[in-house]
Formats: sequence, C-alpha cells, structure tokens
Amino acid sequence: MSASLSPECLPAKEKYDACFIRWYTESTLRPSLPPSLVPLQTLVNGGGSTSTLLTDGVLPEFLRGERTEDEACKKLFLEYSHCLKKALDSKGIGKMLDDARKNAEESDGSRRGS
Amino acid sequence: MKVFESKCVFDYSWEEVSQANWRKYCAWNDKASHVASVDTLSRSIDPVTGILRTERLIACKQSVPRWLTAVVGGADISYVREISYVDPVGKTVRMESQNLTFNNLLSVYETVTYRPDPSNPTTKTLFEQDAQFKAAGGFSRVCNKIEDWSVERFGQNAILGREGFESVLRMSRQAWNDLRDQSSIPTINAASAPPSA
Repeated sequence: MSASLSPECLPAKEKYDACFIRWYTESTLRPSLPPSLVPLQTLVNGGGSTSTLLTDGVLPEFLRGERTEDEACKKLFLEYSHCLKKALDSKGIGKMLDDARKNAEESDGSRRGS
Repeated sequence: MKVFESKCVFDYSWEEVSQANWRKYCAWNDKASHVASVDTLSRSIDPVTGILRTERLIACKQSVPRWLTAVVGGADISYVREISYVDPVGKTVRMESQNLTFNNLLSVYETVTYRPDPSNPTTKTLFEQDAQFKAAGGFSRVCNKIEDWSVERFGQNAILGREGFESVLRMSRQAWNDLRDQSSIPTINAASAPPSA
C-alpha cells in the first residue's frame, strides 16, 4: 500500500487499509464467478484471514447492499485517524483542509444545482 | 481557464477496476513515484443510497519548472484533497480532486469516473477524466503560461497514470488467479485478459 503522511501512523494506516480492502473486495468480488465460488479470503493474503468459501447464494457485502463498514475496520480507523490528526495539525494541513471543506460545501450547492 | 479531458477503456470489469482503484498507488504501480503518500481522512456510507464516500489526502512531490519555483518558493510537496463516491447500484466510481497547495496561484479541479463500458458492460470499463485549470491573479501572460504548463504536465501524468493503473489491474488479476490455483476456482474472464506484455 501507499505511505502515510506521517511515518509514525504507517502501522495503523496499513492495518486499516488492509481491513477496508478486505471488506470492499469481499463486498464486490468478481461478478463473473458464481457466488458459491467466491472465496472469503483476501486477494493478497493479508494477515491470517480465513480461507473459508462462502456458501451458495451469499453475495459480497457492499454490492448486495451492505451499508455499514465492518466494525473491526471502524475501530482500526479511529486509531489511524487519531494518529493522523496530530500529524495534520503539526504540519498546518488541518486548517487547509477545513478551508477546502468549507469552499467545497459552497460550490457543491451550485454544482449540484446545475 | 484551460480544460484537459481524456477518455479510455480498460479491459477489466467495473468490479475489478473499482477494487484495484484502492490500490492504485501501491508498489505494483511503478509509474506513480510522484505520489508521496495517500491518507484516508473520512469514510461513510449513505444509508439511503448505499453510496460509499471517501475523503483522502494525497501528497505529491513537486516538479515545477524553474521559472515557476520563483513564484511558488521551494516547497517540494503539494497536497490534494480527493473525494470519491462509489455507487454499487449505479456502478460508478466518481472522484473529485482539488489542490490545497498553491491554490492562491493555480486551482486544479479534476473529476474522474469509472463506469461499465456501454458496449461491453460486463468485461470493460470506461474511464473519463476532466480537469480544469485556473490561474489566479492579474498577470494574464504569466497566468496563461502557468495554465499551459499545467495542462501539458497533466497530460503527461495522465498517460503515466493509465500505464501505472494497468499494472495494478494486471497484478490484481494475477493475484486472484494464483489464489484460484490454490483453491481450484475456475479462471475468470480469460477472454478479456489484457494482452500480455
């Protein structure tokens, strides 16, 4: 995966990214495969996941309409995000982001309206 | 204001592309050395539409021409804020990016979408990219020069971006097929496999 802005956040970022990609990949996995053949394993075996096969009729989560991220991923995200926030603030990027968000909200309205 | 547009078709299904998109800047992409880091700032799923929204911060190594370094100073990293929307029902990935650094000088607003190719919706994906460049300030000659340079540079990066993403797609499929070999799952989409290099 890619690096983090802050090297000290990299371990937390890698854990979260792996979790998210696992969730997303299992969620959208290859539609050309019958669902019964879709493995529950990650593509690039990330961190001791199971190799259980999904049973008949079980479609991947995100595409079948799963609308919440995995709880385990959320927890990992909080740790990563906590670390990142410190780095953003110390580099002065936090403020740049806040400004950009504010501007985007304003222009969003006009774009969506068109 | 200058506009850059490009379009291409990837020989991979939308599902494959949408997954590989999260790995676009990994080690499999040797054409993205200008991307220094990619961090996820927030992520949520709209409970009504099911659309996944992700906000990321991307840091890029700068390589501005010398005549421009005088204006922007010696900063060697620039930051981009990217918002992406994945619609699993409508099958689209839409990414909007805007520069956070030097935006008092030049604002770049880029939109990228990936959706199933209308003529081959199950095996191919249509990529569309559009970027608007707007130099700020009253010196129209300098502004024009900045915009021209940006569009040219963007075009070069767009080609690299496509090539780099192709390798990520190829490696993702390879990883999948290796996994298949271990677990005796049928080959996917052999017909739409990319021409081997």
